[in-house]
Amino acid sequence: MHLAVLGINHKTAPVELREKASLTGEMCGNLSRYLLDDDGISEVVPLSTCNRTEVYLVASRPEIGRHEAMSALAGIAAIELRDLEECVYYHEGETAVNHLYRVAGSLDSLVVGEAQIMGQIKDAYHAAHERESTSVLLNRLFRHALEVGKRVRTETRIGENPVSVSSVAVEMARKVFDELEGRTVLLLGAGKMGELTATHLVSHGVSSFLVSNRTYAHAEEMAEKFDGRAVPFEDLSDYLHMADIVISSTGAPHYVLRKGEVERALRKRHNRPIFFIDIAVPRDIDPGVNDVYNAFLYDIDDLNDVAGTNAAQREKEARKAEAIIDEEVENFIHWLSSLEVVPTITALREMAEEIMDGELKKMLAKFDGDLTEKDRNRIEALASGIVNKMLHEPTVELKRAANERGGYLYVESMRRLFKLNGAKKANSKRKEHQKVERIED
Amino acid sequence: MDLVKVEEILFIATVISYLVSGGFYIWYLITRSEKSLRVGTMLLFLGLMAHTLALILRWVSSGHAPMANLYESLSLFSWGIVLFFLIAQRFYPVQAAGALVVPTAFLVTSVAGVFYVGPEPLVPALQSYWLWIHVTIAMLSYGLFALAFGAGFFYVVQEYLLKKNYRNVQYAFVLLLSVLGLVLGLWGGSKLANPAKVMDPVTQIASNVYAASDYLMIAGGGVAGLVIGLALGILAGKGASKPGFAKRLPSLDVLDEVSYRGVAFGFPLLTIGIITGAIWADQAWGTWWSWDPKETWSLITWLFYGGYLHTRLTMGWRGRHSAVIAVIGLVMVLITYLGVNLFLTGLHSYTPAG
Repeated sequence: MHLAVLGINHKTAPVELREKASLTGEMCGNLSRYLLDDDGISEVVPLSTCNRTEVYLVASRPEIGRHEAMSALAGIAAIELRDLEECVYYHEGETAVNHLYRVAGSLDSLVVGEAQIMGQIKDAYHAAHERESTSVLLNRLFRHALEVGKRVRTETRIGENPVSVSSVAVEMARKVFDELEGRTVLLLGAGKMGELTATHLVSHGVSSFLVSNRTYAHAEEMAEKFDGRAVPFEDLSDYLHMADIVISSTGAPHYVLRKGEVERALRKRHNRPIFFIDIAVPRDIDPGVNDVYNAFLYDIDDLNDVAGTNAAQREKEARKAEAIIDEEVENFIHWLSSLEVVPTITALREMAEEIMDGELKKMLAKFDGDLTEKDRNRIEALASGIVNKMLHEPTVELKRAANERGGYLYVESMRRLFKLNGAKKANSKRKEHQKVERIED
Repeated sequence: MDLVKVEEILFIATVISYLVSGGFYIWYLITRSEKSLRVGTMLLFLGLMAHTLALILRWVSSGHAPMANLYESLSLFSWGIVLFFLIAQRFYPVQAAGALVVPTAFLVTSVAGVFYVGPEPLVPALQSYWLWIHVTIAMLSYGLFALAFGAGFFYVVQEYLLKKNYRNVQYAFVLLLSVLGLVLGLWGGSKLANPAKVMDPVTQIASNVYAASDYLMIAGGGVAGLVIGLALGILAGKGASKPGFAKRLPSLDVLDEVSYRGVAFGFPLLTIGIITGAIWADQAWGTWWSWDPKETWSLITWLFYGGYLHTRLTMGWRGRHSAVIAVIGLVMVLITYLGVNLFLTGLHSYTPAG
């Protein structure tokens, strides 16, 4: 049984190809069915987001997995096999596990530390689970991956520091106002960045918008988008004092807001702070505004500076995350190796022989030397005969099942029923087992 | 084991847990490690428990509320600071301020330890239930002012950080720590100095007579404290004056709110403290008000915080201006509370000499 992943992502494939390879839920279902029709493939989970399309699978031989997954993906997404071949990556075993964990920890994302990927993996796995295209191996792998993703998010600060200009602006605003709910935002100009920042503010609970633009119609249009109110550009100074946050992104060649106006506005609002976000180039707001008492001004350079430090911070956190992932991959591989048939059979035999030896010793001691050598041999032969006969059928059955779909179930059951935890590293291993079991619950 | 011994052990445990907890709070501020915060809070809480027990034991063994001498009242003061901080932390995201508040509590507690005296019966002048009321209320107001101070200081720092004015962040730390160093140095120097005691034959109040060598000692202590404070201030300022530090501090909104609440609750308590003091004075000394240094300074402090509320409520002051007043206000409190007892003489000097 081989665990493998085949896929493309934003690093390996151009956007045109990723668009084509992006799979709907239905396509994922078809892909799974098609792959599972092959006797060599026993489990499949397709994962498709805007930056990646991947197929996780369990195959009896590695070559089968690669070949089948590639042609299935090319077929269903209607991509030339040759095009796909150029950008595809294929990982097996430990590397595949490592890959999924890095994806779950959002280390493989376009924006390292983004939070959506966890939900996407969860959805992909649940869909696969529902269509019954997963079994012991991928079930555990994906549940563990979600756990790893969660661990990365809680134990590192990878997602904490925003790296985009608009989210940095929101973060800084929250350092002034704490809660943004109930605050009023004044939106100047119709720049794309300004709109994006405003959208961000909406997601933080801002609901009251004033919009102004040199062209009144544009202001009205934007005001409608944010359920706000358009105000004439000429009367700006009459409204400025109502705003807690001002976002400016006009195309004006000169300052739109000057220090004097801001001073007046602050007096009018009894010094309650105003946070100015100037994302226009050339700048819209007089830099002197930052010197006004309780006025805070951030221009595009300031925001980029913060974003830059944050990105560096994320890099640092990403290294911590890698360490967590390495550890978890090792845990999983450990569990995986316990599912190998041969060591399981060996462990079973060892256990049986240990019991037999113990019982024999006890029994022979009772005879206290009354037995001849011949008697002893007979008793010993009897014991080992029983053990061998008892173990024969399960051993054969296990070997046979190992090459079948779901064969791991037998191995796992065997290990559980006979408590075959393996003598070596018994302690650490037991801990891992408990951990993995908890994830499964 | 007798109660005094147990109280001593509990008190030492308190000092140690405040110290270690303060370390964890500072570490939390630097690294933002949640674990460090949890440990710090837990230690602070345990410290508070030990502290509470120590105070109760002192009450039991001395037979009166623990506020009769400087050891007892300082201990009560730091107890109030810690209590209010833990409550504030429960309701506001002010964990970061713990890096200032908890070491302050540690400092006050250890200063209390310096003045340690065993339980003893009350000086006749203090034997009144007014002691209990007057001192508790005054201590509660001091604790709240200390909280307002901590939040106010970090308000100023956070505002400079958000204005990208990093140099002023450094100045703020340098100023705070060198003033603190200077005050502690002067105080240390005055402990080392050994002024002669002269008893006023009429009032029976002891007063200090300082010789030139005593003044030199005090000045030397002040200089040494100033230098150490300056060095620490530069170091702390360097660490804090970078954009990333803003993220570790609470928002201006929260800091302003906490500082304001501190004064808003502290001021009425101080008012009641002064009024109860006057009533007590009338009963004990036969006069409501005698312009004793402590009375004078508490009036100044009262006017000062009154100014805070006045400018805030009628003139719309808020933010940095208010925060600065809250910071300076604590200096007034310290003069009223400690300076008067230690350096000046008057009716309120109950501290055993030395």
